[in-house]
Amino acid sequence: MSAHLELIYRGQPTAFRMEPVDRKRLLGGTRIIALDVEGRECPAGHLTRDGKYLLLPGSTADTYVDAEGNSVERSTLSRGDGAPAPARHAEEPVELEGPVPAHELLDGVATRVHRLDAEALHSALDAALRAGAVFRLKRPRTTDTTYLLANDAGVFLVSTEPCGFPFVGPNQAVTDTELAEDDDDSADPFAFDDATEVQR
Amino acid sequence: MTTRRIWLPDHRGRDAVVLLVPRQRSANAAPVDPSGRPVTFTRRIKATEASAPNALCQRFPDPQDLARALMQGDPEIDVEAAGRETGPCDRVYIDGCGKPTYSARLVEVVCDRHGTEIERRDPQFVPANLVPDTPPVWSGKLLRRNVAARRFAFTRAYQVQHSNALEYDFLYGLAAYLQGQDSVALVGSGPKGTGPLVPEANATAMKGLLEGRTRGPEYLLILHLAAHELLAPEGEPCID
Repeated sequence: MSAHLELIYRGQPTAFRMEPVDRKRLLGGTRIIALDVEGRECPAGHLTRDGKYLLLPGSTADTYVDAEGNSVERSTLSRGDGAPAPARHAEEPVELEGPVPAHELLDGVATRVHRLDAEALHSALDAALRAGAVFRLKRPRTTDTTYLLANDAGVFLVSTEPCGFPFVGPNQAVTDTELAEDDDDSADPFAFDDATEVQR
Repeated sequence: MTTRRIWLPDHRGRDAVVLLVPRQRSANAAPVDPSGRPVTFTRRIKATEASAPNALCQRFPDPQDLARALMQGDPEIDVEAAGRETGPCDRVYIDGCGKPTYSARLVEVVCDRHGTEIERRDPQFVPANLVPDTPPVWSGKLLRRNVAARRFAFTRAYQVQHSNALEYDFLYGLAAYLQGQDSVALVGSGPKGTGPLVPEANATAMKGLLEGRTRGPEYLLILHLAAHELLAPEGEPCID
């Protein structure tokens, strides 16, 4: 079932159907499975380090707990730095601002991509998109930025997270020891950002 | 701690191995509860192998017996284990009898875009190719920034940075060139420098595009990695 989004351009709303686009949907993907000696697929499980419990798929629960060990509902969590969590696609109509320079998209990394399909695209918006215009969705309380754009393949909605790279001068050489570990998305499965799934 | 590097060629026929710096995330972005206190992520046990649904179905083949047992004795709850933190665990594969198997054979399943299996093969090790065995080739392929931004989904980005004065000179020149062209340059593998980049072993092969800007003596050089193009799912993909 595809989601819906309503965008407002120059006071005129346009309703879109949203279809997620990712590498798996475009190119397919691979996965590794384990087979036993008779060729049957073996599901993966976990064995506790003390060897006491064999945990089959579905036999664990992931949760957040406070200092007292009480479970905390995920929907009540917020970011520690006060920044709002990335916006989900709103039920209410969202206003477009711009056009903005297309290369503004290069200031961030894409976290979600959707293809949009409209039954009746507002003519002015259609003309602007065909001419290569890029619009930004007006969402004041989020750190991520979502853009509306079009190319030969259709109309797309691209959500981005800022890169935040600074300019560097001749005296700002970095050394190996200054570099922290890469941004590892596997550390916290409940991380706020929806990084694109890495597939082989 | 890993340091990522790339062997980068430029339009002047020079090349150098330079640092790739990942984007930094806020150290204070860890989640907090409604009162502002930090929370920690834990994984807890719901059921053990003896109290898992499949095990109970095997133990009570008759549904009536199973229902009676569930109401009378709560066999689905292992009171000693349920709710405990799992702690560190080892990944194992489970055979048909619900026991760890020690002779599992790993197979790579290839699926098409509809999720249909099309091939099974031995898992292939794909090495990273940011620093190849032979000097990289400048592809010479430039794409207008505005065009690239509307054509690719850039899902990763690294800042290319210098670690000494010679590298600064090399990278600044490259950034100035790209800014002057208002373009991004295709950076890739293979004899033509147009092949996909594999940033780490067994990672997704991605298209690499280099963007450069300068501001006085400062420069900003970003390697954008595109996991895919902005295409409709039924369209023809262009990335290997």
